[in-house]
Amino acid sequence: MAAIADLAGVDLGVHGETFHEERRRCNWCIWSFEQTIQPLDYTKNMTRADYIGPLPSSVGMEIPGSMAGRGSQHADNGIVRFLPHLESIWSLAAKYIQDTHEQTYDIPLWKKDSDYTRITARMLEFETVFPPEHRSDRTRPDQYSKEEVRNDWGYWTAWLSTQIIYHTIITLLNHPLPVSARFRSNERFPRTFSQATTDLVMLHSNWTGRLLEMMKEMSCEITDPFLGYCVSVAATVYLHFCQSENPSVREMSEASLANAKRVLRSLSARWPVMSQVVSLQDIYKNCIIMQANV
Amino acid sequence: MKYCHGQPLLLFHPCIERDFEIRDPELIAAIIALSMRFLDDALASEMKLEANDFATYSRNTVSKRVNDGKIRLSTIQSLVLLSFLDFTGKLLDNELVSGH
Repeated sequence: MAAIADLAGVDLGVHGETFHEERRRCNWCIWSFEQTIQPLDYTKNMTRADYIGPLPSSVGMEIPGSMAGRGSQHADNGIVRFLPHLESIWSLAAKYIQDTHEQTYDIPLWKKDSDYTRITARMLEFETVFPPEHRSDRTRPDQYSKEEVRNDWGYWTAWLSTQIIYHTIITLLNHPLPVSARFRSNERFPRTFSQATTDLVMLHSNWTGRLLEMMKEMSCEITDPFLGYCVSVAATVYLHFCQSENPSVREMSEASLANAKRVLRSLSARWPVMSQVVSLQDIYKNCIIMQANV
Repeated sequence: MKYCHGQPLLLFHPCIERDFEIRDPELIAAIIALSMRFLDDALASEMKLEANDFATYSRNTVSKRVNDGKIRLSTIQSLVLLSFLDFTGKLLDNELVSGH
C-alpha cells in the first residue's frame, strides 16, 4: 500500500493545494500505520526505515494563538511534522520488546552498543530538534479554557500524541519486564543502571498518568486506539508498583491505574480490539500478584 | 472529524468539513462506516448492520476502481480508513487472551 501511496499517476483532481496536502498526509498515514497500528512482524529481522516522504503541514493544527509570539529562538515548525520522527523511534522500541521476547539479543542493556543505548540516543536526538514551544513546560491544555481547547482540538490531539508516544517509548525501554528478562544470572547487573531504569519507568509512566488526568479535567475524550495501547503499557507499570512496600508509591500507582482503566474501558466501547487489551491487563495483573505472593 | 481527526487519522485537510458531500462515494461511505463507531451504545448496536453495509459498499467500489485501473487519491484514502476499521474491529489471538 505504501508503494501505491506514492500516487504516481493518480488523478489529484482540480483542488490544487488541498489535494497536495491530503496526498502528503495519506502518504504519511500509511507509513504511520505500519509503524504503530499494524501488527509487527520482525521474523525477517528487518527494521523499519525512517520516514522519508513529504511531511504533512500543520494546517488546522497551529499552536494556540495566545501562546504564539512568545520570545523564541526557534522557528515553529508545526508539531505534526515531528510525529513521523517519533514513530520511527517507536518501531525501534517495539523491536526491542520483540527481541526480548524471542531472546535474540546478545549485548547487555547497559553497554554502549546495545539496542537500549541506541534507542536512548535517538530519543535524546529527538529532544534536540523538538521545538520548545510544544514542550509541556511551555504549552499545556490546562493553561486554556475547555472551550479554547475544544476549538484548537486539532493541535491538542497532535500535542497529546507526541507527549504520550514520547513517554511510552521510554517506559517500554525501562519496563521491569524486559529489563529483568534480559538480566542473565551469570552476569553482574550494575546497580546504578538498575536504579536508573526504575526511576525512569516511574517518571515516564507517571507522566502518562498526568496527561490522562489533564485530559479528564478538560473533559477531552481520547479516542485513538494506539494511544490506548500506550496507556495499557503505562498500566502494566502501575500494576507493578501497586505491589510496592512504599505506601505513597502504592497509593499513586493505584490512582493512576484506576484512571488508565477508565480510559481503556472507554476505548473498548469504540474499538473491539481494545476490549481484549483490557482482558490482557487482567491476566497480567494476576501474574504480578502471583509473583508477589511467591 | 470530531472523534478521529488526529486520533490517529490525519488524512484530511480541514476543508473536508465544507466539501464532504462532493468527495467520491467510496470515501464518503468509509467515513460514515467509521463514524458509526461513535454513536451512543444503543444506537450503535442498532446501526451495526448499516455500518457494515457502508463498509462493504466502500470496499466493493474501491475494488472496482483498482480493477479498472482508475485509482484516485480518494481510493487510497478509503483503503486507509477501511484498513483501520478492520484492524480495530478484529479480535486478538484467542490463546493470547485466554492466557494459555
